[in-house]
Amino acid sequence: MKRVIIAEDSSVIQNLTKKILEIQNYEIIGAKNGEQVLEKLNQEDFDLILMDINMPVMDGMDCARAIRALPNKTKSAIPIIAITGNAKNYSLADFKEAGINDYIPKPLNFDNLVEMVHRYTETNVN
Amino acid sequence: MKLVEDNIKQSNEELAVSTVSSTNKTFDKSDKDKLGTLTNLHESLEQSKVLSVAIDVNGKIIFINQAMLATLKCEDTELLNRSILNHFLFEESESFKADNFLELLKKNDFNESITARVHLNNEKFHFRLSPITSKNHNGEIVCVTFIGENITERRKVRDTLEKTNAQLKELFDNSSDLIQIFNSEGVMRFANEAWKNKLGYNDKDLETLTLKDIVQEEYWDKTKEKLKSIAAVENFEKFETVLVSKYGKNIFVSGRIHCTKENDIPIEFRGIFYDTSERVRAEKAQSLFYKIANVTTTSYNLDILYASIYLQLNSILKIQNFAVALKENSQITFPYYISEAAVGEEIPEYKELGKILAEYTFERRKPLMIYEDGIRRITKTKKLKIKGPLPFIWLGVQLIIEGEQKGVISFHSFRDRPAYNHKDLELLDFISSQMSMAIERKRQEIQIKNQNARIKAIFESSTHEIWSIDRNYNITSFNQNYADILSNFYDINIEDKLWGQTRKKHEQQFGTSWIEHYEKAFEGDVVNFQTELSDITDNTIWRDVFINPIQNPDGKVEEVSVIANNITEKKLSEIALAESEEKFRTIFESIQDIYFRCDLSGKIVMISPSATEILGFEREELLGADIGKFYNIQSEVDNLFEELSAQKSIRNLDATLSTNSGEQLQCLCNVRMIYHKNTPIQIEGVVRDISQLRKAYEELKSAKDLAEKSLKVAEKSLKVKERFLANMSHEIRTPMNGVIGMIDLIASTKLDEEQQDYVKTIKKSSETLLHILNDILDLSKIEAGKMELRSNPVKIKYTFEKLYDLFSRQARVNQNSLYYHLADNLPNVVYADETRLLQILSNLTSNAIKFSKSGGTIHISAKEIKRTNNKSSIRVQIKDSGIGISDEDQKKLFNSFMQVDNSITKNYGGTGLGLAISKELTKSMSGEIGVHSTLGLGSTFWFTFKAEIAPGDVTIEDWTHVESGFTDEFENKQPYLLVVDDNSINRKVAGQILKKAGCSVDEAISGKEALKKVHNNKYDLIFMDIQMPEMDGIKTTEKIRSLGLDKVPPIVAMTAYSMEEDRSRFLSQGMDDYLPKPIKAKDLISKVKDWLKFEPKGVDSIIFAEDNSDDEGLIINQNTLSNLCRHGGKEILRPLLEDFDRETQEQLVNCYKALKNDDYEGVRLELHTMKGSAGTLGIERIAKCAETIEAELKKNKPKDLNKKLEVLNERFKEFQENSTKVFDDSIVN
Repeated sequence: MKRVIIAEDSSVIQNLTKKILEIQNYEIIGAKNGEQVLEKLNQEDFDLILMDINMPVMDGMDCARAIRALPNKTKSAIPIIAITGNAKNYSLADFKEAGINDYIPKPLNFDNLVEMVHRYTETNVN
Repeated sequence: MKLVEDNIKQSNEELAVSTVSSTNKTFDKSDKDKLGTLTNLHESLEQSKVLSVAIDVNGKIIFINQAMLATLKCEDTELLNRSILNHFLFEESESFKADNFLELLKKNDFNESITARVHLNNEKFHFRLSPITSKNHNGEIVCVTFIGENITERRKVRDTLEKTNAQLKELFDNSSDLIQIFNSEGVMRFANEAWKNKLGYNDKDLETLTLKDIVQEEYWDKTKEKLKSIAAVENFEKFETVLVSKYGKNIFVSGRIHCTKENDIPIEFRGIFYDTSERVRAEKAQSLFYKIANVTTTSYNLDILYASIYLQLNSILKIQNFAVALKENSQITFPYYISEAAVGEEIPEYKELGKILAEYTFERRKPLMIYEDGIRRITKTKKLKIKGPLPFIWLGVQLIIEGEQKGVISFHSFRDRPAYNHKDLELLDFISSQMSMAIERKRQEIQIKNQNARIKAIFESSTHEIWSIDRNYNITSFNQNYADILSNFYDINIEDKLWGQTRKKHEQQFGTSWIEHYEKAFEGDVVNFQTELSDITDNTIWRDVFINPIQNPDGKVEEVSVIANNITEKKLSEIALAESEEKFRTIFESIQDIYFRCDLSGKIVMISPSATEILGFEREELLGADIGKFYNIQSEVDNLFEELSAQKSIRNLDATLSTNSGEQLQCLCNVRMIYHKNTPIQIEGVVRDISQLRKAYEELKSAKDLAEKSLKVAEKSLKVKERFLANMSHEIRTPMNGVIGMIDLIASTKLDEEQQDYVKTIKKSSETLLHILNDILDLSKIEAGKMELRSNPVKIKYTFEKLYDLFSRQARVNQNSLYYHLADNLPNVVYADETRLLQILSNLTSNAIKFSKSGGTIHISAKEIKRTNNKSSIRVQIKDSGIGISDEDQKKLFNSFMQVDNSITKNYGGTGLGLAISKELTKSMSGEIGVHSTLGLGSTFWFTFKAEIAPGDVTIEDWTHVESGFTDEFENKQPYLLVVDDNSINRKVAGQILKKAGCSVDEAISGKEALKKVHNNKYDLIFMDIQMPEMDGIKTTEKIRSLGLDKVPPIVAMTAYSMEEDRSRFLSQGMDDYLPKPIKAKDLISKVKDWLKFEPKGVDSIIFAEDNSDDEGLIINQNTLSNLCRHGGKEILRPLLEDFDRETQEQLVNCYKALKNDDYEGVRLELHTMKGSAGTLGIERIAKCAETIEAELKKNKPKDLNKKLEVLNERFKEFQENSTKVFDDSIVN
């Protein structure tokens, strides 16, 4: 079973995403901010990180940069998908610079979410 | 005896110990040299109490101490310097011989103590002497000093005891009792002669024998227990056990055992037994007889019997080899035998030997016990060579059944000649007689059983019911068929003893008639009768019953047997025959046609009574008369006969009948030849008077002609109307195209407010006009029967989602809420015409919205009301809270051009055709439409339709899945388009709208020009009119595609044939998309948007503004929730909305807090999150509101933020109210 972290400070979105991805047979671990993501990643291995950009304590952009800078090659290469209402009008290039592979706009379209998660967890074999 | 021996042994041991200890203490041999001179030794011994005497190497006594002299009661002079051998008589042992005493002495070769006897002064002494050798410096022996002990007294005692012992032993040996002694370990110490003889062991065997070896295995544990208890209480007890002889024979013994103990530890057991085998055998033989008698009755078959007999015998005698030989047709077989194969040597196959011995037994005609040599003799005379050993002993007895020698039962042993004796033979003889009887009985039983089984099989295999009954009305035997009848028709379980076994009860159960029949049979008569029987379900059977008296040898009848046979079929066919005869007769009597029969000469032999009525002749006049007298067949009568012979029957023959009054009746007849055994015998026929029918037919024909004529006229006029409508609609559409297009264009120019208002009105009017036009066209089409419903797979859920999508906003604009609920029992996918279904739904929904007061709620629900096979009947209802409709108006509602209240028509708009169209459409979907309403309280419109349920594997494309078209480089480039239309107005409208939207547009007036332009230019998209002279749009498209361009641009058809079926036709003919005329600016531009991903500009006219004005979205978009359910399941909904409720409340509180602290960014962050989650859940109004405020916060710090948050708070309350509604109505499926 593929393991996915969902970092999102809104518990509504977090619970919903969890539920939907669990039905798709993923194991979902929730995190409330970027620091929690780093903590969890430090303890265990994951296949994908879904991350809100706008989070307290450590936002998604900083978190993505921190992950990419990890010494462990496997951990630093984990795919990151941003889930964002894009309040700061980041461009895709901005995301790429921070190490974010792709993004899903808010409000969430769940067809889009499921498809994206499938895509990134499947190509994550190498 | 035991005591004697014990004492001897004990004293010996004591002596040995004391000698050694004294030696160790005083004269350790290794210390001897150091000790100094011999004299020292003798000096010390002189005064010692130890007896001592010393000799030199020649045996001369050189020293004798005081103690020794005192013992011997003599002076030292009597002994000193004399040879020791003169006075001391040494007892010889294995290592010591008196003869070479001196040799041994010199060699220093004896150092064990020796016993010596001394005769002195008529007195005898016994000493035990231990030698101490003294050597000189050269190591030569100089002296041997004996240290001694007087054992004279002990010896005396021993001798006496030995004597007594021998006497006792003799006594024991002569006793016939079995005497044995064994120690606590079970090691045998002694056994008397009788014991040895009985058990077959000799003295040598005894040395290694233990108790366990001689106690029969099964008795060992018991014996051990018994010995323990004897050892514990030390008392004589009656003791019984079974010993086993060397040859394995069991010996039953009884007697006493005494246990000797020392210091409470059992040392020895002495047992005195007598052999009780004979008694036991007698007892066992007795019980054996009983048991064998018992076995013969309990054994199922002979094999078990033989085995049981063997087991019983074996429990008394040890039998390793047992055989039952039977003679049948002078052949000897062995149905049962047991053979041992554990005596070391291979036991030969017994059968050959067994046969000879059996034959020998037959010859001698008496029980035989034959020993090995006898057997050998017999085999020799019979010239039989046997490999391997012969039995030591063989015992055999013949089995005599009904005075005939039928077999031999025998056993033998390979182990032991005295294994068996004549008593065993007697036992066997006795058993043989029992066994013969048992075998005989068993054989008879088996025979009887077989016989019974045979009879039973016959009894049961019959289809008849068979039973017998005695005078007391007890059923004495019965077969299963009878049991079935009782259980099926009388509800009687035959095994149940409670049912009627008396005459009275029997009468109650079966009725008096049965009792009468039985009684008659008991008198000796055979009774036969038929009887009818019905079960509770009125299943009736008929039975043919025979009751036969069973006569005893004395002629009395105590029982009767009954056989009953089910003759229902036969009986029913008899009854049916009688009934059909009756029926036939009735028909014959009441027939209106004339039925006749005549012989081959034409003489009437039978005629139905109807002939009298029709022809006016009396029956007597007709019978026997020639048929030709009344019957005029148009063809020749002779020919008729020939034809009949050839064809056997003639049908629908025209004829006339002459009546008594001379009238000629028009008739139609069927005539048939009747055969008997292939020979024609008679002719029968049916004649029908068709004069009246003819007349009626003529009249009907003229009426039909008339009708056909008028129908043709009507059809023609209908077609005219249809064509008129079709043409007209097309003709109207074309100018409408110009009107509507131009309105859109005007709207996009700079207008003042007044002008804008006028344009809006024109636009609304033209749209209404178009709507009416479409409705008229639809209705006329339906009425002309031209509306063909398609049958495609339709996902019902999607249909309603589309409906919701179409109307939820409109409802919102009217301040109404729209909800829909789909019942769980609805089929997933059905075959239906979704466009038409949506048309009905849209008509009803738009009516409901139109006629609802603001703040009203519209509920749409659907459920399945019936399902037969794979057809589903579905009922949909649309309930509004509008003005309601009076009963009177309800009746008119579904008629054409009817809107309820003319005075308010203007308020509500519409053609009034919607319901009429809906009614027609539901009719063509095999459904109905109707309304329930109360004035002022709203209306519920409903309709039903039938649809075939599609199989589960039919795939439906998700309607929300938007076709992507091209996602290419045009995003930021000006699109280059071609508009092809022969009509200049249309070209202008389309061209202008597109140019306004920022596209570059070319125009072509014909297909030909279009081809040229496409060839020369690279267009991104082509709009193509369909109806053009010379080369129409479809043809042009075909040609464009065959030009061989690198990339053919998408081609969108434009046509006034605004009907759904056209769309698919165009798509199938090579067009990529379809746009109905009249062209609306919005639709035209959205096509460009869809196909080219182009964001148009400069068209923010009133028309577009109108669509987006104050659209705050829905409180809760049901479709969004429905989509969530699709991914996450229904059950996630409630917790999700609760989550949202809680979180949003928190966020609002946080916003207010942040505002207090002037933390605008804090407010913005909360709103940002809120926007995301609200949007995701389809809580659009909150999402929109949060978004607006967030956008403002990004730009500046609005002063009225508090007010704005209040609005948001209002929105949230609104959500809270409605969210519960979502669940109350359970409208989300």
